[in-house]
Amino acid sequence: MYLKQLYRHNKLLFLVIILFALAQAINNIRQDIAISPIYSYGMYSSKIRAADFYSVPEFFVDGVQLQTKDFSPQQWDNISQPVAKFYAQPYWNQNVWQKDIQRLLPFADSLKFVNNISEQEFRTWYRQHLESVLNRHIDSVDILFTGYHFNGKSFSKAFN
Amino acid sequence: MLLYQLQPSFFYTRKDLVTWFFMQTGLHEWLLNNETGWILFDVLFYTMPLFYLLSFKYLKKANSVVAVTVVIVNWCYVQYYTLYASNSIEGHVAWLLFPLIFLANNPKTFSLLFQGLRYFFLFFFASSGVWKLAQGGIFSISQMSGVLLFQHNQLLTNSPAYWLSQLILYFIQRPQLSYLLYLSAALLELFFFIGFFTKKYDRLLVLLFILFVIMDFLIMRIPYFEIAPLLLTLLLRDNEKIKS
Repeated sequence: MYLKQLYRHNKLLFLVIILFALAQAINNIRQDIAISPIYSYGMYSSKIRAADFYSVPEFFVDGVQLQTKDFSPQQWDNISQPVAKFYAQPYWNQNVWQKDIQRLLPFADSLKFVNNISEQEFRTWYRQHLESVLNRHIDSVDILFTGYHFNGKSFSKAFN
Repeated sequence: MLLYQLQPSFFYTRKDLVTWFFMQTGLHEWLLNNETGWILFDVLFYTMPLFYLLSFKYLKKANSVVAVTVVIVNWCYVQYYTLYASNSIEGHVAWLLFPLIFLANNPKTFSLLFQGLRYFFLFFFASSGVWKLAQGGIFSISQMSGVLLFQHNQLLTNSPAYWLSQLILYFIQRPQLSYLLYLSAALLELFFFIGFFTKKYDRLLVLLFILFVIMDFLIMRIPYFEIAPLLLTLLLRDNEKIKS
């Protein structure tokens, strides 16, 4: 048996591996803050129902909309993730700082956990980033969050 | 994907106690808009296995030092890389755990750590299946339709005529059919439990893993290739014969 072999060979290593396994189990039960490299692997495990409304980010380069189909998943992530994360980070980072980091690491410096990038700076950076991803010069980039209804069969643009 | 391709200009703080210690150093801020820093990190990270190989072949005395350096470089790279607009750190766990086995100072310890990594790989998959039971996703017939809509709403709205969009929409419109995909994935994950009791099915688990990763890439457009190094723990089996 593996654990018996491990115990006989090296008691310290045995202890480390038992502690790792225990921490992994406790972390999965508590579903709290992760302690690298102890994580839970429950992506898409909670119930997700089809919604009737989705806010979808759309990217226009020099007036032409980028289409997911023209890019590999990794390339598309490199286009869409910065936008999703940028608009989510002010609230998220502040929240993690106030609720968790301050409590658990009272000596921590808030400036290291919260960004100070403005939207203007992000948009300038994003245009340059897209130039690098698309490998061509870009004059303008527009990011829109468009509302779509899903009726069970197809998507249609929501008009206010 | 390289740090040089991400070109980070901001970070996204995650709920991870260890990550916060890494962030406290300020290195993640130093890397923002820092082209030289990206190249340095990319070169260090991707050349580390070569350094280990060279020390293993030609300079055994330096092995321990190089192994510790590999662990430090890997941990720094993955911790910082996943703070930016990339994929989750969970998908990069192989890069954090695998280098640890090279810290072993004798073949028996190496073999035992390698076997331990095999158990971790089994846990990685099996626990995903358990999560689907515990969180209830597996009990919802409309689960996969909801997942596909959430995952692909950009593809479906900006490329509606594309064949993959049509295929995904076909599954979304037929919740029972798409649920079969979800159920199959959950059962596949749960099947990894068998590895805790016998090594007889390790080759089958390898095939199931490859199938899972390909389907994840084709249907979900999620690149899960970073976990692939852990496959070695199912493919190489004779290490346990080494006696101390």
